[in-house]
Amino acid sequence: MEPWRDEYVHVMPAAELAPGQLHELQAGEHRVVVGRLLSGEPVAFQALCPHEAASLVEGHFHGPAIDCPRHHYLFDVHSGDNLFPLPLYPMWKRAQVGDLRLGRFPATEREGWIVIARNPYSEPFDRPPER
Amino acid sequence: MGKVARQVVEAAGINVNELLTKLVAAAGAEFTTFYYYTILRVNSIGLEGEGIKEIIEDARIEDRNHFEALVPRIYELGGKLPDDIRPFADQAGCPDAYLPDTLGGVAAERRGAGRTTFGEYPGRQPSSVQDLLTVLVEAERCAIRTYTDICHYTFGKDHRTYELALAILNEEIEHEAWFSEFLGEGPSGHFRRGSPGVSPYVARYMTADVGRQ
Repeated sequence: MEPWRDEYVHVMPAAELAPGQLHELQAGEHRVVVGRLLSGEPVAFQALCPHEAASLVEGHFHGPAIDCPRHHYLFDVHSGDNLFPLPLYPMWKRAQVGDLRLGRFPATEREGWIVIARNPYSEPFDRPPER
Repeated sequence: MGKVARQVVEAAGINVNELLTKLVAAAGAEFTTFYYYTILRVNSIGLEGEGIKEIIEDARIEDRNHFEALVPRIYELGGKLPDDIRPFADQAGCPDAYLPDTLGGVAAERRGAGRTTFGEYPGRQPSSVQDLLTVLVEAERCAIRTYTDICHYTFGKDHRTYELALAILNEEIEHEAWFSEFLGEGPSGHFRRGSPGVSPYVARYMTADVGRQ
């Protein structure tokens, strides 16, 4: 996939996004959190936690992972994989919980702006799960 | 409820209801962790398991102490524990620390496959203690993130909650280091507790004297 052939949107001035910071905004039809890792890399992902729809803008980065403030689930912002707790769960619990994956948007910095693709890498989760 | 105690926290700019949500979630995590650590401890068996049983017990009792220390602050600020334990467990701020597959569940049912001259013996999976330690260390890391968040939220504004959260954070950091040491991640830098679950940082907040030696 060549995400940068898709449309992209300028979402905020790059100077306003310091390392470790998170901002929530509307990008097209999606609520998106844009953040900057401590390495300086801008990233963008869905605004709601795939677990129970907590607001991820209130979370914190731990390395390349976003830490959800409600249950402290960790999601890799590059791969979307859940890093905690799913890999530790026994098989029976993993079967109950199912796949939890963070929807991400290609993000970069261009000419002083943070730009993100309109189309996510994977379909983001915009609603609480039905349980 | 401490009326003025709550007012001064609000006046300092804290959203007390949001703080109470964090504190109840933290108390729920301590309570459920105490339960799950009980299961992890009783399954910490064999030559390797016995070696870590005492530190699991220290962490288990100290997590219960954290619950005991958090509860008075929740009520002082006008909050309460849920009437029903089920939603309380669901609100817990950290995931459940389940027994890993290699010590329970489907994988454990396959453990009796080792055959010797004298018959079948239940053999534990080679990685079971490592799996157990991984569950423990990650539970402690979740607790560290929880109390770091509460410290950030209350620093300079709610002195009493900040000090309590900091005391708990100190113990959670020690717990992480103990388990991390057994996973080969380097020395913890600590020696053993004088008695199980003595809570050197949190004991002074346990005004009901529950669990103190």
